[in-house]
Amino acid sequence: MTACVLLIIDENDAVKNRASLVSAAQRLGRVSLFVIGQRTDAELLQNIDGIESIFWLASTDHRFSTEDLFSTLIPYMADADYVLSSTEIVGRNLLPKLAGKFQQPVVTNVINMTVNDDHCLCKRPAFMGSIVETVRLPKSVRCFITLQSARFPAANRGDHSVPVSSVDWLLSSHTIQITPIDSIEHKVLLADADIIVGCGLGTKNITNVDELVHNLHKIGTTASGVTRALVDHQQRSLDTLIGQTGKSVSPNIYLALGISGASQHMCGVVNAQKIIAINKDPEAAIFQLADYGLIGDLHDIVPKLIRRLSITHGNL
Amino acid sequence: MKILVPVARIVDPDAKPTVDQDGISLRAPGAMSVMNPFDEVALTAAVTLRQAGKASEVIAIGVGPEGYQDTLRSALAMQADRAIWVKTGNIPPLNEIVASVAFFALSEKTDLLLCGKQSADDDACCVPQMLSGLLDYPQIISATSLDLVDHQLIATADYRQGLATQTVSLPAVVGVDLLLCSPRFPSLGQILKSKKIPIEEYAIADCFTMMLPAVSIVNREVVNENTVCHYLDSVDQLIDIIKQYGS
Repeated sequence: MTACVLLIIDENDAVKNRASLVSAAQRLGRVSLFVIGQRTDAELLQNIDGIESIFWLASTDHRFSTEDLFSTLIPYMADADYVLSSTEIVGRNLLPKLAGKFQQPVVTNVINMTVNDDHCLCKRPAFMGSIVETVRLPKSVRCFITLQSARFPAANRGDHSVPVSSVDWLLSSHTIQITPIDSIEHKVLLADADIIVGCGLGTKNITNVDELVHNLHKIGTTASGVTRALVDHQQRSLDTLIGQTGKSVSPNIYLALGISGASQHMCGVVNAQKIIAINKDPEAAIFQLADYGLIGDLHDIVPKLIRRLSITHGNL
Repeated sequence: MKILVPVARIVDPDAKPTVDQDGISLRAPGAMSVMNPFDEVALTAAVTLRQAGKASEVIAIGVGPEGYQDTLRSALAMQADRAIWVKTGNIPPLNEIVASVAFFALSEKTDLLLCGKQSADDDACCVPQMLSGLLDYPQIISATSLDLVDHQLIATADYRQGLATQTVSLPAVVGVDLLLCSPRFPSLGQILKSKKIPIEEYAIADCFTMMLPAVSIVNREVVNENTVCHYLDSVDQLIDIIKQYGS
């Protein structure tokens, strides 16, 4: 009997990696999607091969909490042998909660999966990426797994179209009053950026990073992220933190400015295609992890970069 | 108002452990076992709430093998009022830890479970969420500020792609971020005083009756990163590279 897999995809999951989540799910069995977001988030997945059904939960109805998602998803657990999501915030907060309720196993941050007759083996990083653990999950119980989506190949698309069925919210009896602190509506999300400018403590006195980000947009969508040190110095808020306690990202280019290369930060950028480091300290650990390095002072290099970018691209 | 704080004992995360020949045991020569830094923050926050008169008792709980009594002794020195040790033979799987902590949350009638949001060894980021699912309490994850007002908990925490102020009624589970506060380390006086408090010992078999699924780590391997850095001479070269790979 083929296993039933419920894959939860959220509107904050990187668009480029959504088909990869589906391909990972297909290794385990027949895939049903549960999409949280706009209707278009669900519609963009309709022609991916190997999907049996698509459920769509509108994210715009109200300011929902993990409790509301939890209540809404409970009825869908009955048929699922596996419940999967990415490692982004929705899955990170929801899947272990579901696993706790049902007293069933959860494995997070999975980078590879192999399925055998009676068990499934999941590989996941530990100790900030210095060690990879293999976890054995029995097939006889429902398992909850969060995936580093960038580590899986994309599923194919065909010319079919799986119908989307709309799902109603089942609100939780636990009310959480939520007041967002800043609006993120117009920011490029870290998950979807082609280029991420990473700011370390070395950028503390660099005032034109935003201008650099703006100019890099001419090459690809660009967002900026920070290290813990910069958050600790209250220069930036926690929602752009990359690393062990923050987000994991998978851009084409990670441009590390004034970042020393501590593993607490670097474990969040291992899925970047290319890491380019700019640092004035030639001994900085980042140069052992970067693909390209430029040794020099950011006070000189950042303005030069901005100037060059505006000349070579003009006003596109 | 009782607060329960689960504490984990881990290999010093800065020690960069390697793997033994058996392909599973961790080896970190000379490295200490320490309290998970996230749990130190949770414990400090709990003690601060008690000192402010907002909580009556702080109970630390550890679920694990021999050695855990040292970590719980540290928790008492950090001014937890009581320490519970659920003794196991080996390092137990997450589900067993969570079931044991939930057992004491109910039997001790605690109002708030204050947890580190993750453990610095496996970074699983699961325990507070699993506790909230099992106990059917609301959860707030990655809290960077925390207060209790009229049996309501107010916290700043992750929400979608940003941050939000979140208010919830007790009982509740909170997973704290390192930014919440700096851990306060005990004075010599506190260390000596804590030695007089007995650690309450239980066997794990007494804490839950349900058969839990067997999940096990079957292998560990060290990752070797051998990246060769190509050094660039100029900003022009840098821009060429960005153009080549950026879009």
